[in-house]
Amino acid sequence: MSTHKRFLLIGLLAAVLLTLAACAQPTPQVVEKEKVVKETVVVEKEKEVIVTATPAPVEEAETILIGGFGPLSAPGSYQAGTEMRQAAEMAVDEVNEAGGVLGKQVELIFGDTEGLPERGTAVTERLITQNNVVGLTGEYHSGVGLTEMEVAHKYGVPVVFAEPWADEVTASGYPEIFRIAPSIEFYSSIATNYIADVGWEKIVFVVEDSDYGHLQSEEWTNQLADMGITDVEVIFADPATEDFTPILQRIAQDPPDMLAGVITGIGNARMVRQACELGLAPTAETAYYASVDAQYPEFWENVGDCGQYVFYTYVGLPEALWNEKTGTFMANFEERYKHQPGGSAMAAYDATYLLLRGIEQAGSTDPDAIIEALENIEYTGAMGDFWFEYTSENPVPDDEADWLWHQWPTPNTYIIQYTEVNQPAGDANVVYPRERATGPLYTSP
Amino acid sequence: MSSMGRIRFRIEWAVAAVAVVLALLVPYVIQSRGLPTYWLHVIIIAYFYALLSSSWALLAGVAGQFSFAHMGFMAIGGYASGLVGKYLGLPPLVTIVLGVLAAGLAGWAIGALVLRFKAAYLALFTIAFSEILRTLIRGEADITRGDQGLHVAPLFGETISRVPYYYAMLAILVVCLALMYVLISSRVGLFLRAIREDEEAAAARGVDVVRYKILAFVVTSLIAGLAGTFFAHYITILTPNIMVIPQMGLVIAMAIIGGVESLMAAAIGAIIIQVGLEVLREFGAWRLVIFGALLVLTLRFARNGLIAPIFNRVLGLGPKAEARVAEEAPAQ
Amino acid sequence: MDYFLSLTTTGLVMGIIYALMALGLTLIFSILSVINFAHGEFYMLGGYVSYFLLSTFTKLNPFLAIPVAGLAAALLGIVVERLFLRPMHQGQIERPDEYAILITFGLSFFFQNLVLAVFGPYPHRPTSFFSGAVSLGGMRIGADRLTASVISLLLLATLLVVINRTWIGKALRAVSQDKDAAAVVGINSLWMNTIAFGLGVGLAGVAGAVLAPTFSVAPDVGAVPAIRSYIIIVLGGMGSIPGSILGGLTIGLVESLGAGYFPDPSRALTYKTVFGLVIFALVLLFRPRGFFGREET
Repeated sequence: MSTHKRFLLIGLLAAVLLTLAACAQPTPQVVEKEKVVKETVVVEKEKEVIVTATPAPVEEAETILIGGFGPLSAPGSYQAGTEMRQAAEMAVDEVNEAGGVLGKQVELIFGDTEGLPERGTAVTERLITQNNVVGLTGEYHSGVGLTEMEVAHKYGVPVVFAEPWADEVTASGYPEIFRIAPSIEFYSSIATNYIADVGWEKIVFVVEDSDYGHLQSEEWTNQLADMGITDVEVIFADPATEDFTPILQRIAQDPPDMLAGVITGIGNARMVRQACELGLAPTAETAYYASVDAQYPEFWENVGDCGQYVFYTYVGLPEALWNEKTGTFMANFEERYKHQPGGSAMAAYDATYLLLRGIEQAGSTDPDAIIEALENIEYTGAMGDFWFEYTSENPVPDDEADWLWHQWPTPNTYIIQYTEVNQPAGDANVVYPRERATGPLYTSP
Repeated sequence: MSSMGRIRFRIEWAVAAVAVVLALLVPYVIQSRGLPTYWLHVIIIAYFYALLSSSWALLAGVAGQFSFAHMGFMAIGGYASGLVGKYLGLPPLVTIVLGVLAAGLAGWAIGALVLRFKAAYLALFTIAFSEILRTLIRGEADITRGDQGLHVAPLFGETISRVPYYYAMLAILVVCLALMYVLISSRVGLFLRAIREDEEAAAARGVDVVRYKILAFVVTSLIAGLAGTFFAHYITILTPNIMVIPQMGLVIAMAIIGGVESLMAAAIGAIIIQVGLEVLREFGAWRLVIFGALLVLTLRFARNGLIAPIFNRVLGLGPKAEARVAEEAPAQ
Repeated sequence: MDYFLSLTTTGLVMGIIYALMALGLTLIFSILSVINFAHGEFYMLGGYVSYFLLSTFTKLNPFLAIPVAGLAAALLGIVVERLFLRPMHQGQIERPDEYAILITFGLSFFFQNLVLAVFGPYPHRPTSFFSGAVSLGGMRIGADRLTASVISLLLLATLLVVINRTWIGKALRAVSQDKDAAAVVGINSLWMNTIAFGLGVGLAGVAGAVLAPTFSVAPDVGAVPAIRSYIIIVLGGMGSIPGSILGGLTIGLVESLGAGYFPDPSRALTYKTVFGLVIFALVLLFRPRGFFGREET
């Protein structure tokens, strides 16, 4: 009995010492307690923790710290998150080379949210309270962005979101929150208007059972119903699904006009191949709408010939519409990381620049000054001309959607169709919206 | 008890008092030094994992039931509490009780179902259970909100301070550890060890194998459920990703690296690993590679874990003392 | 082709490949009494070996990647067996059953993160065996998929011959039935362990390589086929070779017909894995020896 108690007590002590060490700077007191315990391994561990966990003194900082967040590991969409981090780092390096912001160098600290809302809370809290970042940028997942937004609001730190689409992000009306990504309503409207314009009537969506899939399928179904397109079926799938063939055979019993595979990661390529091998889509009868992952160069490696005639919604500026900055960004990114960037990278790049421009124009790192500067910003980035229409000076009118608050009014969202095998995303036809299209509305196989 | 024993006993109480005082001081130290409150969060989560890994150590290390459903029971607690709160509008304290009971009930059912299974079958069955549960939570998004996350009411209302959560989690951890120690120091602990070593022999000596196996499942699921409800009402959002198999692997690894046969070592292992993974976060993917290698090497070359042997040495205990405890226990 | 028939064909084509992977798992179990929780990672590694080889030497015939992937997985398996599992059979490890679960589980964690760190998260696909699709009585099947199925079938047949007709097969069967008796007739069961483990994970590597052109590879692709293989060997009876083949075909059919006929199509794919898991749990509870297993739990 007493042995167990001893375990309990000594263990408790060690636990407490460790936790103290993790958060406290070394003090004579703690060191004394270490001696009492005489646990060499624990002491070593403590030293390590102390060294790395103690934040550098922030008063009169030489550098300006900004925070980035996004998914860098599973279950998050780490492909997108990784390139977002790379693009943000590139933006910071460019700014530093050109002399920094407010005469100081900028440092980016990027937190991995793993696509988990609870991690988003923790990472944001760490960036704000430990690293003392003056502003935040990035994020890919809406579910995570919604929790990060609350933390940023709590501490009053400005955020320029690059990718989360949920309407609620800007509909919150929080003064700290800005967004250059399209809202889900806007994003979906591009695809649904396209469907209506082409004249497809029978639609089947296979969507992943994540926040990404659920948000989109709801919005699409509603918008299509408003346009009188009601023959819409939604099928949910685990994004790790290997074989879609049985459900595709089921769909092939009564082939739709358009089949959508809204699955991120490896599932996107699998479904494209399987639908094509079955002869279901893309065919003269059935068009194929792929997920945003079709923008990556790996798409072709994974789908082969099956990618021809596939189309998808691209957020970013397609090559035909590039401005000078887009071209420089694409070339520099590819040279630096040996990988062609997707739309998420471009968005993260511009969001980082916007935040840094905001700090520069504010003339200080005071959060309120940065927010005011962002509200009045005019900046041309790789994705086009940025400004925020509805701000504290010009609130969202009652007859407009709430999500227009601090929202970039013209986020670049296009429908892109591949017409050749192994076609680089940049050479593919921009088919919608029509006013900026570079090719026919739809090229049928 | 000898006079020597009495002195040692007093020292232990002194050490315990110091430990508790120090633990209670953590938030004060963080605040007074102007350290980021983020670290308070890291420690709260570390205590959460410590609770899971020590209760898994009780189930696996002491009772010999290598279940992969522990995170499933945790999720049952969290989701039950969150869903009852959402649909019936009950306050968190009530839903927490219901959540813990739901987890205990599930633990009883699974414990009863797996009675006959040997190690490999038990592991497979509990993986299957856990995955079915996760798919259901993900699939029935109309009810659970699936991957979008179930919003759960915060335990302490709108406060932005983490201090109340810290003390609540600390209290839960200390009380649960104490209760588990009382349990394994009693006859029940002896019976569980006897069942682990040789089930048939234990049964032949009159140990009610069915009853104690189920008891082990129920107690550890209650604790996992409590951890889950606390987590839910602290983080305020739940997604099925908290119960994926790699998360279960993390808890197992924490217990193994700490020392699966000592609850305290498993708890300390969890705290060290959680804080360590946080500190090493910038190493990205390689951090988990090293962690995986550490796990495999610990299993192969240090079956008692890395923390438990240190305890033994510091306290002048060895495996013999462990055996003595087991023998002494029933006498009390 | 008739809807039911075409779903059945899809199920059987995949079932053969599932059986190949499960056969490796059941072989390991029957000789070593170990469930290899890292089986999915050997499958994944097989796919990566094939991808790495074919993307480095672009002129190489894609079929050559299959034996190389199988051999690489087998060699790695032999190393793993010698380092981590053999001590268990030499009585150096306490409570070997628990140890075996944990060590293979730990290895799966290690391999998955290692591949993620080395190759990154992007999905990759090795060169196709044949591009396009083949028409079978009006139903189209991907040429790569059909090739994978045919190779698996040939390999299954070869293995059955090896196990039933050759000396090594007889030795393996002897060890699986009675270690002590096998030792008496001069069979070194430690060597049989190494051979069985190498062969078993080599089959997983082959399965990974033949399916990689169809399903692509990424660091986490092992999880789904691994869980499926556990279901199959439990269904077929742990340790039974004909059981794993029959189990593989059954699961192929269940997945295909389940998704094809599940009343609510919107949930058919979400619950596709659950069908298998529920069958699995029920078999474990009510008929733990599966189709052909020996009476023991």
